[in-house]
Formats: sequence, C-alpha cells, structure tokens
Amino acid sequence: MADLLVAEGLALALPDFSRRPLLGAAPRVAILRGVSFALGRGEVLGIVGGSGSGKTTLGRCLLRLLEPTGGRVVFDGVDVTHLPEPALGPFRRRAGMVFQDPLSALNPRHTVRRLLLGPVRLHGLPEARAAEALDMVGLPEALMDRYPHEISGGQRQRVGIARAVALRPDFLLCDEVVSGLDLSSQAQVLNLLGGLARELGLALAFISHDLGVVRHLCSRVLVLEGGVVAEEGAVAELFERPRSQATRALLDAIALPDPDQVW
Amino acid sequence: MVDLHPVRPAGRRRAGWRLRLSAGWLLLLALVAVLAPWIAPHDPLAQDLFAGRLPPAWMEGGDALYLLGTDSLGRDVLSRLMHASRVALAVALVAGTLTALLGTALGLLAGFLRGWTDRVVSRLVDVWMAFPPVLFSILLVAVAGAGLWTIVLAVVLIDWTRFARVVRAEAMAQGAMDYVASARVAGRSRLGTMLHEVLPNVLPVALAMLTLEMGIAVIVEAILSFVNLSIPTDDATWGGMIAEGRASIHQAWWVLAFPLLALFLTVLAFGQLGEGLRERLDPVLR
Amino acid sequence: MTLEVRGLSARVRGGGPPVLRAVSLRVEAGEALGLVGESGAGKSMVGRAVLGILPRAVEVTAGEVFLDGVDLLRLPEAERRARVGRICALIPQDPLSALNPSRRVGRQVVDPLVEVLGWDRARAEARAREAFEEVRLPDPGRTLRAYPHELSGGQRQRVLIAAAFAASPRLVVADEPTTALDVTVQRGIVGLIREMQARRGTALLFVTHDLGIASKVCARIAVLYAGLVVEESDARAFFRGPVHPYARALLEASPRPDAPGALRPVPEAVVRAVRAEAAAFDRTVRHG
Repeated sequence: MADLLVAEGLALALPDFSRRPLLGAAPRVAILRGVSFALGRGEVLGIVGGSGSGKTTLGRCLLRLLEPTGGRVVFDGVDVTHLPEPALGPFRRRAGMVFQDPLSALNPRHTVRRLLLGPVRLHGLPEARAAEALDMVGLPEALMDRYPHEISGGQRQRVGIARAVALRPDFLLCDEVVSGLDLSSQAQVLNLLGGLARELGLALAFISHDLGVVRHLCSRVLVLEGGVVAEEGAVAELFERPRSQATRALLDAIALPDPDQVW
Repeated sequence: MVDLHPVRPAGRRRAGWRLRLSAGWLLLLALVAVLAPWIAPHDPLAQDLFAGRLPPAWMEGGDALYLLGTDSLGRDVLSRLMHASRVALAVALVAGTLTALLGTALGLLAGFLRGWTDRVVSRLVDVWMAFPPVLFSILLVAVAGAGLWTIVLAVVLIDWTRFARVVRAEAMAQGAMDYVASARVAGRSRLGTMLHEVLPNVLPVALAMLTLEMGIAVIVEAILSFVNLSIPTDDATWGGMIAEGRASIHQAWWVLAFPLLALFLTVLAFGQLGEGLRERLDPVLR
Repeated sequence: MTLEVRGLSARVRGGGPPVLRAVSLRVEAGEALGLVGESGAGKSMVGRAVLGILPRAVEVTAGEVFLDGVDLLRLPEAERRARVGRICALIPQDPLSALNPSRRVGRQVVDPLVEVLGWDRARAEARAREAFEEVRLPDPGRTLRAYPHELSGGQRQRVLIAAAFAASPRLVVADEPTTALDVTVQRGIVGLIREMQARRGTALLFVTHDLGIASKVCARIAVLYAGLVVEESDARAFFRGPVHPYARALLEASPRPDAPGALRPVPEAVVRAVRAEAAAFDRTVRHG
C-alpha cells in the first residue's frame, strides 16, 4: 500500500531580518536543507532533535503552515506543496495537529464546546462529533462549558487532542505535546495518543526532544540535526546501535531515575 | 481516567462596586436625558430677570422653586443641567461608538493581515497623528459649520488612530498564538480566523478604550461649547454653562460648580465603566 | 552551615487554600536535597519561603526556618533580607526573564556584589571574571560585556549560575534550573551545578519535577504533594524502592527507555489516598 505522507528533499530558507543591509533584501537562512522520509498509514514516527535542528519547522511544512522553498510534500498521492489555501480543504480535514503549549493553542475566550465545534462545523460534520471526541479523550462532559484557564494543563492538552481527532483525520502531527506537562499527565497523554492511533488507524508524526518519551510511543524514529536527517531507523536500533553523533547526543541527554547511571 | 486537578466550579465574580456605581450614575444620567423635557422643573431657556443669581435652595436666600439656584439671566440651573445632559450623552454614545468601530476595524485588519494592509494603515496613522487635533477641530467647524454632527465628526476623525494603534498591537500579538495556527490547520480562511478567533480576544481592549473614548467625547464637546464652537443655538450645554458661570464665579459659584461636577462625574463614570465591564464579562479574568 | 525547616505551613492570603503543610527538612553544608513533585505541589514555594521571596498572595502561617541556628521568619524584614542576601542565592528557572535585557550580563553579576555585599568594584569585577571562567563561558572577557539576547539559553543559565556562586554562598536554591533549556544542554548545566557546589561545600536545595535529573545531583530526596512531604529519604534507597505509594507511582510514571511499554500514570486510588492525607492534615490543624 502506498505511503500516506511522503516528504522529498524538503527545504526551507527564511529571511534573517536582523542582518538586513540598508539596501536590498535580507539574507536567507536555511532552516531545512533537504529532508526526505515516508510515513505509512497507521504508523507512529518519532521526529527528534535538539533545538535548532529544524524539527518544528519540518512539522509546520508538512502541514502547510509554512510553504517550503524547495522539495515536495505528497499526501495520499496529492502534491500539496504549493496548493493555494482554498484547494487545501480536503487535506486540512485529513491532516491535523496538536500543539506544544495548550494555553496558547486554545483560544482563551472560547469554551471547550466552542473549541470542539469550530472545526467540526467548518467541515460540515455532525455536531455530535464534538461530544464524542471529548469522550474519546476521557474527559467529562461537564468541561464543555469551561474556559481553558479553568482546567488543568493535562486536561487542556487532551482538549487539543479531542479537537484534532473530532475530524477523524488520517494523520496527526504532535509537536512536543508532552514537554510542558507533569509526569502523570505526560503518561496519560502518551497512552491516550497510542490508544487513539490504534483505534482510529491514525498515522502519527511525534516531534520531541525527549528520546525517552519517543521510545514508548514510536516504532520508527527520524533524527534531525541542522536541517537534515542525521539518522533514521527502528526505535530499538537507534537506542542500541546509534550511528550518528546527533543521536548519541540525544541519548546521552536522557537522565534515568537512577543514581548509578553514568551521566 | 483520573485528574489530579478537580474541575473548578464556574463561579461568577461578585459584582464590583466599580461597575455598580459607574453604571448607576450613567443610567441615571440616561434617564434624565431622555425624560428631561418632562421632568425638568422649568423651561431651560425661560429667563426671569427678577430671579437672577439665586443660590441653591438649601442656602440662605435660596428658593425651593429653583433647587440648584439660577444663573444671571434667572434660568434654572437644574433644568439646564438636565437638558444639557442630552447633548453630552448623545455625543458620547455616537462619537464614541463610531470612533471605536473605525479604529478597531482598521487596527484589526492591519495587525492580523500584516503585509501591505498593515503598511498602508500604519502610514495613514502616522501621518494622521501629525495633525494638531485642536486646530483640526476648529478648522472642521469653520468648514462644516457648528453642530452636533460636526462635533461627532471631529472626535471620530481625531481619535480613531488611538484605537487603531492599540488594536493593531493586540491583533499582532494574538496572531502569533498557536490557536490561530490551529484554526489554519483546521481549514479556516484568514478572514474567518480574524473574525472568529482573533476578534474576541481584541474586543476587551477595544471595549475598555470605548468607554474611555466616550468620556473623552464628552470633554471635547464641553471644550467646544466652552469656546462657543458647539451647537449654535441657545440650548444648554455643560461647557456653555461653565463658560457663563466663569464670569459670575464670585457672585454665583453654583452656576459653574454644578455643571463642572456633572462633567467630572460623567467622565469618571465612563472610565470606570470600562474597567468594571471587563472585570465582569471577560472570561479570562474570572 | 545548616538549613533546617520545621513545620513550615503557608496558605493563600485571606483564608485561602493551604500551599505548604508543615514541611520539615534539613540540608547540611555540602549536601544536596532534591525537592521533587508535580506542578502545584509546592516545591518552588518551599525554596521561596526559605529565601523570603514568597509571592505576595501567599503568607506563612506556622513553622520555623533555621539558617545556622537563626530563625529567619522571626527576624525583622530588613535584617532577614541582609542575612539572606549575604549567604544565600537563587538559580531561577527561566534565564531569559531573570536577566535584565537592557543591561550587560557582567554588570548583572557585579552589581549585587557591590551593592548587597559591599565589595569594591575592582574586586567584584575580578570575581565576576573568575566566575565566568569557572562556568566555562566562551571568551569570558567578551561575554562580560554581552547583552542577554546575544547569548544562548544555556549560556544565560551559566551566567546565572556564576552569579549565584560568585560570593560563595552557604545555601543555593536551584528552582527547576534546567526546565527551560534544550535537552542536550541540560546535562552540562546539571554537571556544572554539581561541580560548583562540591568545590565550595555549599548546601543545595534542588527543586525539580524530573526524577532523572534529581537522581544525578541529590543525595537525599523529598517528595511533595499538595504542600505535604510524603516521603523523604536517602537517594539510593529512594530510587531502589520508594515507600510511599504516591512516590512509588511517580517513579513508575517516568518514561524508561530501557523498559518500553505503556507508561503507567499515577493510579486514581493513589491520588485519592494522598489527597485524603492532605485533608486529614488540614483537619488536625483546625482542631489541634
């Protein structure tokens, strides 16, 4: 079966306005320098790297929040790289995203109900999807009339996930979704994502700087460094036989709760 | 699944005194303004030279017929005060609202859409703010003639930039938030995102400025009527009363004091109303 | 020098909910105590209470904070500030907001030495330079004159560590010093703090939600939930097997790359139990 999402030589360069000369355009800084990979249906892929590796930018390119300056993004056989916004409608329903900071990703002046109904109504889906989605993430209906600041961080993140799965997408991009959460909320959210991926046959691209977290969720991992793919492989392989310097640096950064670990 | 944080009950804040007092005064004023022709004890224009400069009723020499005293032409201060409130409130509401609408719309478009929309609007604001406001309003009156609508126009044309600047900054800040990106990912159009997502987050700041602007409009009207550039007839205005009262301040201080007090309380009330409404209505502050 | 906290309780002003419930702990010179717990557990509050920088909305209701035998809470404000300023220091969580963006970083290290400790400028500047070398900042002379935005997150945190240890304080409170940093940089920062502490024999109160990091720095661990210390023990013993069910559940919820499989969030029953403990404590305070 053909892959769901294919990235070919993705490149993105943005103007660096801090170095703009008096006359002429600002010089461009390359953030992505040719990233290629494929994601199969229902697969859970980890995208890891330190800060500056380009992983967040890659995620935004995959969802067309940014338009790549080079390369292609092909979703289910359709080249979406340079499609104009009006033509992206079907893509938008099938490709969703969950953000890192739920406080900024949820409109502070919308109730949970409005947050969930928004995308549902936009795509003409039955309104019952909103309540269903809330239930799928294990939150009580009582939260429907709450505002984001009235619920906890873990709950907020789950609302973000509910909002995304209400559309029953085929692909979900998770951008550092557990980085700002408590240990316990982290565990809940990761288990939830894993469960949803299995139940709904979702393909997940899971961006994180924490390899420890990635191990629990992902079957395959892409390691980014300086805008290129430093290494790619099955997660167990990466842990046991890391090949690149970038991977080793990330592995070294993992602090196990063990005083005897050499760190 | 369990949550370590129990859901907080959605309680309403205790209605603030700020809101009660300011809304109370303004409501009273509105009532007086609407009912003035029926409840004012005297005709505001009726002169009685034998009853000139009478002090307020509770002072020596006062007359219960003229509760707050009379001016040099024997006109009842209270009745004039009441009728003048009609002008003040009309200008406040109309000018304030129009200014807010124009400024907010332009500020929102500029701050959210960025690009050339922002460049055009920002340039416009910069140039516009360079005109001296007082000269501008005098010029306007000279060209368009004195009148209520001229005052409204003057306020709108001078103050819209204030809204535009502030709303633009807020729209820019909100535009960078992830919930805007999320709307885009969900497939909402840019314009749709602006109205559906960003506007509600920009309204609180616009609302606070709106009530402030109403206060400013009242003051502008008072200033213009003080210098006799306001409505051309003999109708009472607070600014006009203050101008007249100035001349007889030693013999009849009440002619100046009461309109001044009314002006002060009204502008204060408008200012506090904005804050009070924010406290009450903004979900984020609950 | 010793830090001894006894029965420290605090709550939100105006009869609000308790923030700390009779917290007791002890840190000796040269020792590192890890204060761990989830967000809202009160671990930052303990550090702030010790340093006398609690938020205005929080007030201490009971307890003592002994620093070298002197109860800081019973001292007049000015004296407490002077004492804390001389022998304590804070390494804050977010280096970006902790540094004044409009002043050079060198000045931000030098000024407190001159103004609070009364050193003369020359001595303070020399010390600042030494400190920058000690924290291994590149080109210390030049970095002294840099502005915060010219440095990376990790470098900014090194500046703050230099500032904290510059006057060889007896107690350092590190409040989640690595949380805002990139993961590849965390190890270096943690190692640095460990080194500086060891070299000077400083007592270290290390606040963190990350059990992994706590295990690398601290000889003793205290676990907090809702302002209650549920367990305090030697680090080795703790990580081999915590006693309190909540502490155990917390350890089991940590991602373990060496033992993959579904993560185990803290079970509902455990949370209920520990909440009941907190409620029971509140009852004894009310009736006691």
